Amino acid sequence: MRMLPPLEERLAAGRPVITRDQALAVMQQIMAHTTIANAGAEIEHVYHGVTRLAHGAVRSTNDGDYLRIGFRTSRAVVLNVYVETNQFDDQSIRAVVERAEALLKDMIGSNEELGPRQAMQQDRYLPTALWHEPSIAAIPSVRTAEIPKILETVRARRLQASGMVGIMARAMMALTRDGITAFHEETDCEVNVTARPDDGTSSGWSGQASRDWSQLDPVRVATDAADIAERGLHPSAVEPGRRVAILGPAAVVQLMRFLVLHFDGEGSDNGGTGFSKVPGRPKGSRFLQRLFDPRVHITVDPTDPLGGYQAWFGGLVGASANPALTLIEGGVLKNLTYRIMEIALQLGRPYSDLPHGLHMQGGETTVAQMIAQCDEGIYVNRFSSVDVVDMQSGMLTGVTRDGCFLIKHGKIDRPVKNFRFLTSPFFFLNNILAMGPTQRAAFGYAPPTMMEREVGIPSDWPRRPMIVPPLMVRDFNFNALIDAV
Amino acid sequence: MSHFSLISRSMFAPTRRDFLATASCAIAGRFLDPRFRVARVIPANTSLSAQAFLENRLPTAGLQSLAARAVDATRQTGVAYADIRIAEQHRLDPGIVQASLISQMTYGVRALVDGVWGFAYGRDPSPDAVTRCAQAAVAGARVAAQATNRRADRSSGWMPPPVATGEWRTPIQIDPFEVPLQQHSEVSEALNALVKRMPEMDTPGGIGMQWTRETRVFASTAGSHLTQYLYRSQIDGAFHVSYGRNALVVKLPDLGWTSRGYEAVLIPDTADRFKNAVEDVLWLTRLPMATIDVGRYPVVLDGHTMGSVLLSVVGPSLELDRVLGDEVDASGGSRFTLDLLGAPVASPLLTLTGHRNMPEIQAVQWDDDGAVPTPHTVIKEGVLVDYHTSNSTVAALTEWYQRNGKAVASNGCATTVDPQTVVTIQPPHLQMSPGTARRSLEELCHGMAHGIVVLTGTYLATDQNLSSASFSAEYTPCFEIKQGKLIRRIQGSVLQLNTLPFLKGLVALGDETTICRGNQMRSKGYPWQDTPVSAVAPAALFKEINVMSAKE
Repeated sequence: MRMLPPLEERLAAGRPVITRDQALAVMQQIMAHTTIANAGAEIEHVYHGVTRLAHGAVRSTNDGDYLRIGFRTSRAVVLNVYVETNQFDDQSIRAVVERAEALLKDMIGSNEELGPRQAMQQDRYLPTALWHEPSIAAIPSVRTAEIPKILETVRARRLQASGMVGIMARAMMALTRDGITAFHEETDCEVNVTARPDDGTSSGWSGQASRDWSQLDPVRVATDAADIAERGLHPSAVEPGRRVAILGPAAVVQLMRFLVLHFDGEGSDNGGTGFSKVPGRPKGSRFLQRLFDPRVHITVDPTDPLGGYQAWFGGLVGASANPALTLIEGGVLKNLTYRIMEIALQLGRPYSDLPHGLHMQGGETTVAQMIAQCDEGIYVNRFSSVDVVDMQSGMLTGVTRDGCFLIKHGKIDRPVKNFRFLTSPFFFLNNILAMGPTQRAAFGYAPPTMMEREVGIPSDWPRRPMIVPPLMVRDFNFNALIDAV
Repeated sequence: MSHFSLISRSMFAPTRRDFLATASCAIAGRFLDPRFRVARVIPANTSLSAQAFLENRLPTAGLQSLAARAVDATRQTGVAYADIRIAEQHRLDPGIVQASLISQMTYGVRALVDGVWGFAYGRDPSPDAVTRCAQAAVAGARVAAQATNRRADRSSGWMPPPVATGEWRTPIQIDPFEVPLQQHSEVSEALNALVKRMPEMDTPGGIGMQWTRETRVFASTAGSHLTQYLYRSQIDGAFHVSYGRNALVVKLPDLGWTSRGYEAVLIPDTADRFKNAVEDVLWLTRLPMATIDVGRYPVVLDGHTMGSVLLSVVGPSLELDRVLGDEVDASGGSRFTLDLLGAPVASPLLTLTGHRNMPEIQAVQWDDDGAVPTPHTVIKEGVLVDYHTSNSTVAALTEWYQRNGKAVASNGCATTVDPQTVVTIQPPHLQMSPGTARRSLEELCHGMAHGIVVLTGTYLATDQNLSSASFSAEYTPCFEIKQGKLIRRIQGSVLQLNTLPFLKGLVALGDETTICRGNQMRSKGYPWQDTPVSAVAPAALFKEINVMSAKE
């Protein structure tokens, strides 16, 4: 009977999730059980080691791994059947195939025809290097070495720490009966800390995320959070309105995550996004038009060392390659992603999954320099609860959180109460005054919105990396005050 | 009870027409008009059900044995308390062009050491693996407790529920896993055919059916051994009706997310009621669309929209872990702070209760702390009187309960959809009392000189303290009313409310005919997990809502 070694043994061996060879053996076994030509299998194995902090103490630890082995098959008259198990043993793997074939035999199909079989593209997968051994090596020591430092750093400032420290490892493989094999492995880590006084009247947040734990500095995160919390005491209300805004990376990333939705080629061509020529009508997209400030340059690349993502998509139906793309160049729309191969081929556009993460080029102005250049404005450390108001204009609403300050005469003047805002990437990326150095921005708590769920963007923790700069923009619409710390 | 309510044409045209009260669809092919039957049914072995090839990985006794093993393993470590949830789940999604069947066996063990919870989870159903998982939970808690270097503020907060032993089964009539698979397919196809035959209907839209069967075992070091056989149905049908840019969604009535069996789709008169529903939507799509001046307006929320306010704002605000600050770094805090207990937080018209009774999707006999859920009124005639509690949090209410002569015990809101995820508080089914006076949605709007009515709203943005919320008129149909008449659909606007002033501005309630059922998927925890929640609410008239332009 095939078994995975216990998790603690795998951790000790530096490999908490399945290896390529283990995954391949399972996939081949599944294929050996089926006689149906049109079949694909996928395995995903994920390890999470998470520690949550609250009230200045560890609140909970959360350790384990989950496994998903899926098998998809179909017949000429389209009926896709998908069966999944989370068990690794021979009997369960055989049962997956048997159940799928039983379902296929007994369900009703429609008369719609399958599209052309998607091309084999495994030779086009870009080589990614997203697995970092230091992240695995850190797992045993995070709670004994790093967590106490975080708690003590915040406690020494007479504040309470909340937050989370998490490490993730993932391995995935897809195999089809016609010979496509795709493998992916990655690690990712996040540290974020919220610091608050006992009475909860101020809140400071800081976070870092990286594929490589050794690139993180948990004490720096705790110190930054405490700094913001201290500076945020006794906020005053400032009239909402259009103002110069200096947006830290953690604020920018919460806005840019929604720009991903707009790069859906089919949706855009049909009038559903801010890139559509005519809102609500299938008149195509605004390719080669300048839609943003000329300094805006956005790419996606599975091999991006700062972020990167899976080099293939659609594992159960052929594992097609995710290409590296320039989406926006000099503010001009260069590419959208098309997830239907026939449409992509017909239009001569990239056949690709929706971008898992964006990489936006930055500038050289630091946040400190932005503040020094600002006569009057608002510094926003982070946005929260952001959601789409209107896809066709890109309008978003959300609130400031965990650090919001009035800037006057080149200095932070005082903390201010939080705002609700209303803006769109199609506005603020046209109102850029300055851009800072680009960096991987931690998301913090960012569950999926209803729209993200509907579109099917991967939105489990940890969010796929996004690389953004801090921004200084004019006429940012803070449209209301909110009564929330 | 109607599943969605739409405003009658009498508000627009002089023709008197009763307000749409209800609509419901017969789903099963055998109840449908023959002309809606699917012409291209592929004959198959109709006797074959999912159950026919879905042998359980482990019998219940096996799950119970594993649970006992985990409890023994934690006892040997000397921890103060530990418990395990272990479950075998099957999920069947029988679609027309795609069917899926997902099976999993998972468990999660939590152990309490000096006020710190260690949680570990796994899926290997061997006694050794479960034992190791239990030991890992204890080890995690011990390391974390040492890292904390002091007892957490609420280390004494855990109040174990009374020790209990027993079994409970969701009282369904028809096990969907025993229904021939072909019948599942026919139902989906027949419903889609029903929709396609209506020329007014647009795509996209679709019908989704998901049936879940779960055997869940709970055991604790306190001595509880509980087994529940849970069934859940999540049935959605939403279709677009549009005229130009004015698009509305029509839902298949009387479906939704419940703890019912296959009988959930055996509702008579589906075709006629759905057609009536479509007809009642059509005239709304013909209304002109225009912006409305920014400002404050009285607003009527239909039952759906009121339910969404409960699910997105009020219900989560009453989760005691949020109130206590356990989630400040994640989903956030609450506007309903402890100092407001006993104080008015809403109009005296608002009474809100929570329960986990049948047939709601949250229905259980024991929650994930092993406590028996109790129906509880959280807001009584506008006064905050209770919260959604668990055994980890209820100690914080000791003084309040004692002062009010109530036993200090959890309301049973501890929830985890999957034993692999951490137990958190989730709102139980929320039930808002309707008005006692006979008053339809139309009558609520009737006295408005100039106001707004919001229909079928599901899409609210909130903030970290749930102190405000926002509707987008692009996704939530909002209509302008003048002199009691509905005159146009609003576009380009955002409706914003501040929670406490808004709830205190509740002016009138619709009667029981305006009650609607709503469902939502809510995220909580870190890593976040999704939990289905539900509510029923009547239509309601509020003094004012703030309308802002959605244009930059």
